[in-house]
Amino acid sequence: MMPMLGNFTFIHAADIHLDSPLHGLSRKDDAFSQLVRGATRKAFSNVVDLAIEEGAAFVVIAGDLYDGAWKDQSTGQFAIAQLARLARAGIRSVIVFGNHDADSRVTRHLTAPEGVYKLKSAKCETVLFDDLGVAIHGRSYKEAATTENIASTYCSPVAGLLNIALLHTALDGHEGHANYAPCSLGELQAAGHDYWALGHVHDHAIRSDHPHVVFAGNTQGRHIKETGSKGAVVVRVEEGAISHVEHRATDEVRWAHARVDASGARDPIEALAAIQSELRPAVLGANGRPMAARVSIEVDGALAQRLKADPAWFEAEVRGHAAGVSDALWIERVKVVARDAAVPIGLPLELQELLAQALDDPDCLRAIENAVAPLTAKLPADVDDPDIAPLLSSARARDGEALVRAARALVAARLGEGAD
Amino acid sequence: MRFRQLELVRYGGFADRVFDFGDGRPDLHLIVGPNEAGKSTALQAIGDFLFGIPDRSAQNWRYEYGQLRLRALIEHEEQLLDVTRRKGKRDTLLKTDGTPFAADPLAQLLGGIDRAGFERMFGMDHAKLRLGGESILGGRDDAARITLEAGTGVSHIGKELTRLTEAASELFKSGGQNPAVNRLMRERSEALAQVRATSISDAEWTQSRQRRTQAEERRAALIEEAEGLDREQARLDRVGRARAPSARLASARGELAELASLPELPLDAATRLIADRAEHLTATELKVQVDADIVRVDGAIAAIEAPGKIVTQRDRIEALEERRPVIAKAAVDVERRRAELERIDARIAATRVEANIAADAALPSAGWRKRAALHLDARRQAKSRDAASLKERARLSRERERIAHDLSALGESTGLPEMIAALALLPTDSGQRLGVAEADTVRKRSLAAERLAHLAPWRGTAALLRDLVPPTEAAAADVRRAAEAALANATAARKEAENAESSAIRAQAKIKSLIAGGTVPTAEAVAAVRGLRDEHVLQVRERLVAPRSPDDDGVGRALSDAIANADQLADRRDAEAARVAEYALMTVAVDEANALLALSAKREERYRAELKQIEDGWKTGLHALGFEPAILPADLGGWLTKRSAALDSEKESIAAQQALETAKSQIGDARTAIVGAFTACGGAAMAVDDPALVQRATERVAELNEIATNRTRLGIEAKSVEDTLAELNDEDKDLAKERAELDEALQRLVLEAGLPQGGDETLMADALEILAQVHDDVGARDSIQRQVSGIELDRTAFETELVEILALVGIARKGEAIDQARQLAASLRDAVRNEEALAAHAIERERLTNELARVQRRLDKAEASIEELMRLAGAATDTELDQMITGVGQRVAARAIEREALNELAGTDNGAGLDALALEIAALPTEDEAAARARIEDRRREVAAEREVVGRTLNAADDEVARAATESAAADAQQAATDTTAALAQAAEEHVQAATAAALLRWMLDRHRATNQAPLIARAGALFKQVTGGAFTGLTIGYANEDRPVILANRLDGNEVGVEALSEGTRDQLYLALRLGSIEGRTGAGALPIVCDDLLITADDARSAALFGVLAAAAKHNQVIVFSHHAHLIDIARQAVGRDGFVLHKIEPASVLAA
Repeated sequence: MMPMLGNFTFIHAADIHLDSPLHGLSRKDDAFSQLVRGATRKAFSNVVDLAIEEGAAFVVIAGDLYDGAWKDQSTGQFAIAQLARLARAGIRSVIVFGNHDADSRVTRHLTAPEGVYKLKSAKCETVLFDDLGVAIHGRSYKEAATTENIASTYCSPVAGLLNIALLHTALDGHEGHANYAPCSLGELQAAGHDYWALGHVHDHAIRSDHPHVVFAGNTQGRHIKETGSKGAVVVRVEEGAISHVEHRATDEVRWAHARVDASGARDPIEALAAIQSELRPAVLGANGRPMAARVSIEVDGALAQRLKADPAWFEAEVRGHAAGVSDALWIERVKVVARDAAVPIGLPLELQELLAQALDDPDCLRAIENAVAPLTAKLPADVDDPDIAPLLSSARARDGEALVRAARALVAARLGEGAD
Repeated sequence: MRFRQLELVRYGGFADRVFDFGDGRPDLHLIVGPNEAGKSTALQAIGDFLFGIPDRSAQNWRYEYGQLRLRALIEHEEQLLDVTRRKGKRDTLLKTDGTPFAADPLAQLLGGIDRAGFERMFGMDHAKLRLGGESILGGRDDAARITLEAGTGVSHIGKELTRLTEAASELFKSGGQNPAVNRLMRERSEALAQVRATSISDAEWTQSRQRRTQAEERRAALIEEAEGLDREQARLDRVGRARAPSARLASARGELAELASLPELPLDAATRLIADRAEHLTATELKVQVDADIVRVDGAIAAIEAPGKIVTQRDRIEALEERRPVIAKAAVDVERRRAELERIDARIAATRVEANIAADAALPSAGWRKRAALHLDARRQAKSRDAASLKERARLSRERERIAHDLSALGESTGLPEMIAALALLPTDSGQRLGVAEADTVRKRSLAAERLAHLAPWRGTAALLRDLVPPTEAAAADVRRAAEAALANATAARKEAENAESSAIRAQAKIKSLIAGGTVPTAEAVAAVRGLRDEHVLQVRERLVAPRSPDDDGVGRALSDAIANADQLADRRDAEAARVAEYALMTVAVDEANALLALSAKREERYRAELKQIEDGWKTGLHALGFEPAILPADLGGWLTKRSAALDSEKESIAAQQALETAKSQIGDARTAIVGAFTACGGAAMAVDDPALVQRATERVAELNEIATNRTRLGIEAKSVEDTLAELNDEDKDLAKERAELDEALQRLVLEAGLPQGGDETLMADALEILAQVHDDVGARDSIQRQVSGIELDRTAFETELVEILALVGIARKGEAIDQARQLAASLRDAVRNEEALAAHAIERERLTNELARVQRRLDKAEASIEELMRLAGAATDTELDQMITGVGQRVAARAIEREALNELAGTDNGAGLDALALEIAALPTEDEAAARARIEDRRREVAAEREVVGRTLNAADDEVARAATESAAADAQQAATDTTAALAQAAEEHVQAATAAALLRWMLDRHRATNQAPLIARAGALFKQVTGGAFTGLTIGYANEDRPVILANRLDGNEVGVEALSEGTRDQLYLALRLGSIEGRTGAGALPIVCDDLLITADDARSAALFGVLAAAAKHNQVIVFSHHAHLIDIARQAVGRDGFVLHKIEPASVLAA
């Protein structure tokens, strides 16, 4: 008997990364840290709420429900509790595991509630929802580093049903994401499935319509490179066909990177005003969520030198002015980019010449490397985030030239400062 | 580089202001001007010219930004560069033709230094000198730091090194505990330990699940055992429950078998019989009682009298009875009131007589009494005013006499206005004014003379100057331009001539070198040798025709040589064509150069003549005007400005003199007028120039003023007295009129009151007093009269009503109406009571009749029911019926026991039947049942206890799962660890930044020490010796504790001292020496003018002179420009470096220049 193809809604989520810590918070503001604690859990809970509110028939999770090796059982129990919430609401769940929660790491621990379907890694598996006229296909990763094209091993679509395929993949490659389960867009389009529910890439993107090839993006941004709205995709099906695809925010904390061009600004007041102007729309876009923002400000002339000479002071000023924009806004970091950094201001020729000679003098290189050697010898090896501490990375890599350049810029700014 | 000229074309308050720094011999420039003269503007112009006019320059107060221009002639490596700087964003450097330079011509000269760097390196002022001296003290432990800071002008290098080093140490110390990095490493370890402690591991989770499974299994077993115990308990309960009903069932069934023969009667036959018999007895007793009651009621009805007509008038009689007490009381009151009326009338009659009111006159009303009282008050007030008027007249009479006496005692104040007018002509500070005017006149005259002297070399009087028509600035500019053009042309011609001469010499030298290489085979040379050859040929031909001569061989050899030379030279032409061509070119060049030389010489001569003519013309013109010698056209502008100032001063001087004369004349006239006025007003005669004149005149004015003031005051007082008297007269007239009106009013009131005609106010006052005594009586009488009338009306109405009612009920009227009304009301009450009693008895009798019928029906019904039971039982007597009903009752009870026992036993046989149940009961004696129950109870307690333990275990396991699903301690700890790691990375980054920058700064100091320190110390040492006037002989590097290199100053006596032992002023000098020494070491690009702004502000003359010496030495390698507003420095500079050792530039205030 042919099933009835009806009208229903399903939720497509991916890359939930439960209990993954947010990076870059740096303990500078305990109140903000408390505010954003447990953000990935709350985001997953928001996905469940969304499914219940939308009256979804089922939820598909396209990999990386967990963040990594499952060390703490409470993470899994939280996931089970949330999946049980879905089950109690009559909402089924279909899950594939990705590189972060591959078969070998996680699945043996998880006893899923009724109505939760975990797709295996050995081969493509199909779950049929006859009442809806839906066939869901998918295959979990067996190992984290799955570099073969598993899309090519997927089951063929079931004739007469709406076919949804779950796949954790980098597709044809994406900056910042390992190229796991590579495949091409054309390949997916040609496979005959109606909706490819993809995971792994943390930015939401609709790569194709009819058939739909959709990255849900992650449900909660976890660091400064994951800016903007994060959430899940609400998919409407009418008479057995995809009619509407909509991304909905589920994140608890929003990340933003304010790039401010303050070239020509003469004093810090102008620069701070420009920063506030850039931050205000970002805060409005967060709809009241706590926001962690990085400020990269491009300045020139004497102001650039002044800000470079005392970056801590300017960062404190930016934090103070950010508080004037919103009390839920936290400044992750302030980066001052000097447009004409090579031209220090107010330096007599002799100092300019000394600074110019520094890079070519092996004694200077050696002195600078020796200056940081005690620290690098003591510091744990995994404290090495080039984004937060680029000079530390240079010191570890024994890149003396980079250290000299940075030291030269700071010395030039400090010595030039005050030459009014 | 150096400035040859700096022109403030349009800048600040200046226009076309030129600073001419000459050819640099000497190149120490002292620019002196008072405050506001534009010294700061000129100072700023140097920076603005070199580095551009800033966006927000304050130099636009006279010219707009777009018009600002600075121009300079720059000398650098014997090149002269004419550059104009305008304000703008780009292309701000312009050529002389106004077009922008393609490339910045100053960039190379500045050597990459910016404005701030220039001001640090080459700018010096007192504050920097003092700051530098302090930094020397701060860096006394580090010679390199001192020399680098002093040499560059960046005085905070050492402080920055300290700050960076401290910052790095505060962030991290190897082996430290408190620095941020050390602390964060420790906190991170703790956070990671917390992650491990709070994480639920796989093994822990597995063990937890195993514990739960075992507990669940044990719980299931316990539940099963408990259920078995429950089942056994249920069996014992069942048997126990069945034991008693089973016994009752057997007994009931035996009894039923014995009663089986009795007839079937209704189940309630026994109770029915009892009830029927009781009902029959009750009904019989009731019937007897009701019959007796009916008889009693009938008797009572017969005893009551029937009410008559009186009840038909019940309402009217009751109303009459209600009014009766009022009427009875009114009868008493009316008499009392009539007696009161009579008493009042008697008192009024007596009053009328006492008040003399006519008997037929109406008693005066309350209105009359009020008007009469007001009238009497008015009369009293009129009398009071009469008395006051008389008293005031007496006081005024006494005041008039006093004023007349005071007036006669005062003198006259004649001539006072004239005195005041005369004194007003002479200002009180006329002497001071005259002194000021005289001083002003002298000062302005002196200034005018001084400014006239400033016009040198022009000589002449002010009058000549006024009439002088000097050339205009435009004309002077024309002359200057023409002279400059002529000079430039002459110079150009000279250079051209020199070039031509050089060319000629070079060409001639070349020709010589060409010739030196042998005869040049030019056409002319070839022609010459061929000519010689031809001459020899001719000679040979001549000799051929002539006899042989002994010298023929010689001629022949000469011919041969000539032919050979000619051929050889001709043959060389091709080979030496280039040499020939060069020779030809050189020859032409020599000719051309000579021609050019001649032309240039002529041109130069012409231009020189032209220049001389211009200069002569200019000088001649100026000589005619009085200039000896003539000034340069370029200086005419300044001279004209001075001329304007001189003319202005002359005008001011004349004006001041005129003002002085006028003041003197006015003072003389004023004093003459004062003498006249003083005499006119009775003063003694005084001389005009008497010094006491003004004082005495002023005293006289004061006296007269006092007299005049007193006379005026008394006059005012006298007028006031007269005015008051006139007002009193008017008031007396008004009083008389008022009295007449009051008399008329009195008579009207007397007449109105019925008093005797002609009665006076006493009569009326008495009457008023008497009438007041009966006032209350008059009012009360009307009220009492109205009450009496009302009572009489009420009594009449009562009587009428009584008569009518009596007639209707048929009773005759008799006696007092009150009494008869009371009797009538009593009769009515009796009649009403009877009527009500009859109605009650009728109702009671009807009820009793109905009750009798109902009792009879009950009696009939009980008898019928008893008869029915007897019929059913077949009994003939009541006794027989009673025996049968008792047996039937016993049978009903046995059946009930049987049913009840069966009900109780229902379900207790477990479907096996009652017989099996009976056997089961029999098999379980009561004693055995109790023992079994005790065993079950014990075991059940044990199972419950164990289940509680297992339940707790399961609950704990469930709580663990629930906690795991909701708590996030491990995740939170992981987040804290991540945060700490980020903080650690950031702190480490900051440490790296500070530590590397500190290392770089140390390296810079070391580098400077190694490369520049020694020569700098040597140069600075020489300067230090000079600047300290020889008190120190130089500087050396020594080594202090821990071999730290320090600067030592060498005293004249050979001792060496550290910088901390130097006085503050000497440290300043050391700083200056180091600065200048560093500048001296820099040549070529980047060697810029040294600009000093009030550098010597606190130095004494000797130190200033020494500093000038140092600056003069510095001026040998760098241009030095010293700005100061201290004119006395000019003399010091002259003493220190001689008149020719520096160039003096004086600047005037911008306002003067602008004018």
